[in-house]
Amino acid sequence: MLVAITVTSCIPSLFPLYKTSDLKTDSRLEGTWRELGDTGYTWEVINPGRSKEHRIFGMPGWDLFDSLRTYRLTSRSKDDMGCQFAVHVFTLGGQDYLNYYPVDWEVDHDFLSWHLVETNIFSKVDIRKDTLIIRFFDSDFLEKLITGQKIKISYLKLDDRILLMAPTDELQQFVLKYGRDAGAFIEPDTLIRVSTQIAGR
Amino acid sequence: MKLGDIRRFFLVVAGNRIIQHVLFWIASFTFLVHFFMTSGELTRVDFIYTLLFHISLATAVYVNIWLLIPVFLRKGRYLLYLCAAVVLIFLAALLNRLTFEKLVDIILPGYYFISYYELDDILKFVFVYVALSSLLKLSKGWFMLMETNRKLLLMEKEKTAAELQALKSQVNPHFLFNSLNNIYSLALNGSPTTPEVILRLSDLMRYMLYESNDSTVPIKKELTCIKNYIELQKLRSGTEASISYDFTGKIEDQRIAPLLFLPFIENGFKHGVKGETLGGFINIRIELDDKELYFSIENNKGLVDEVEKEQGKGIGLQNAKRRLELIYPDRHLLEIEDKENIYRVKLKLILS
Repeated sequence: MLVAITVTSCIPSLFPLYKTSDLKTDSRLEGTWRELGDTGYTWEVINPGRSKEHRIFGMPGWDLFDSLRTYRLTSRSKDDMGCQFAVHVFTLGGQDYLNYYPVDWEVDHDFLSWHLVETNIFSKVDIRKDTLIIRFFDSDFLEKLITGQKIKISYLKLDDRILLMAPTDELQQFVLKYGRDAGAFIEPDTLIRVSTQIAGR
Repeated sequence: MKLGDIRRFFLVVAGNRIIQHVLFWIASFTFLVHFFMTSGELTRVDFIYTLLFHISLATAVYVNIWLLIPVFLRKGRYLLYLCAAVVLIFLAALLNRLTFEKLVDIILPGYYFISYYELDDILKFVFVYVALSSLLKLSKGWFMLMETNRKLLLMEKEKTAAELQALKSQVNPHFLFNSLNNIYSLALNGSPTTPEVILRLSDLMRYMLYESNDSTVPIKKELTCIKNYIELQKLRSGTEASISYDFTGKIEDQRIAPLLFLPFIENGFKHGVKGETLGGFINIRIELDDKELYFSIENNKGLVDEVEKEQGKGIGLQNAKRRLELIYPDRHLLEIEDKENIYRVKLKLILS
């Protein structure tokens, strides 16, 4: 379910939703999470900056980020090797958000990688002791506003997808002002904590 | 479009406040809607956003030109104006934020706008509009002042032209009146020279009526006129009077205001030759030197100054002086010597 959602319903953004000054750490994020239901979809979240075992900073792709306030998310479906994302947690208007940025993925093909541009996606998050409730921004909602000429935001239309071009300041203002709009975010996905440790690799 | 059309357009605009304001806001909207455009083409949200943005700009502009400028700036309270303008700019910037943070959701529910600019950026926008409106308001006042000055200048020129025309029209009847009197005297005495006098007078009148209407005439024609006039007077004065006319110089393309010397010559004949029962003299001399002309006339003063008996005594001389002041200001020198037995006039003219 979560995989499908991220492919079809999330809105990529050229700029992240956070500013460095907004970032925080939340140790409750760390651990292994499994999506509720039988999808077999899991998240492994660690803060590599605090863990010698999993330190990966200095490796290509990761040196862009704040070493202590960046989480490494390894997202896996049932049988795949998984993709790695830099995840940042921050609070806007009293609501916690996660910003996701791809760093490493399974396809090891230089020529293909030259074609790809990494983008950000973001979601609301409610972090509880053993539950993560994730709500992604609804692309259909935004597309209706754009095609109905009811929103003023910088974007690019790429085939049937929308890429937000608005800078972080504008993104934050939109989220702060309209983040509580009932239609702005899709239905929540729930992940259940499997372990406080990530699976050994 | 010709220069005159452009000037007329600006006059129409300058005279119609509503047109000015409409043009200003059309220009402002056109510029800003393109400035605010988010995607490659203009969309409805760009127009709406620009319109909403103008709420605070228009408020600032009209408070400035309807309140601050009349109350402070026009009364010379510059410091107060400056303070008030600063406050106005801040309030307008806050109104701009308020428009997009609160008002827009009330005015246009279903639309999603944020304030895309930080407060310092909005302050710059509002400052530009307040400064621009002040400059336009002041430059409009300056433009109107210039126009009033131009009209005053035009009126002054027209007045001068009318005055010159009136003075010149006084010369002609004056001369004609005297000449007709002379011809009447010749005819009364049965003089055989009467037809010649009439012909010379005809030539003179042609020059005066048809050829001397321009502001300047070729100097050759003016000298011919003087010569004709002297010949006319010689015929009338007979052989007892000593009348001399001397011209030196090279006549080229110099031009001169018409009928400028005639009042002096006429005056000389009236006071001198004609007023002297036992003859008299009149010496006229003209020297032409490229761009300068020297005129002198001297005559005896008659024992019986019959001119004194005429009404309008001295009008011709007064007119001549006034015309010199109007046509050759700072370019003429007139000296009049009125001695016991001799009357002398010297005039120097710079022709161009």
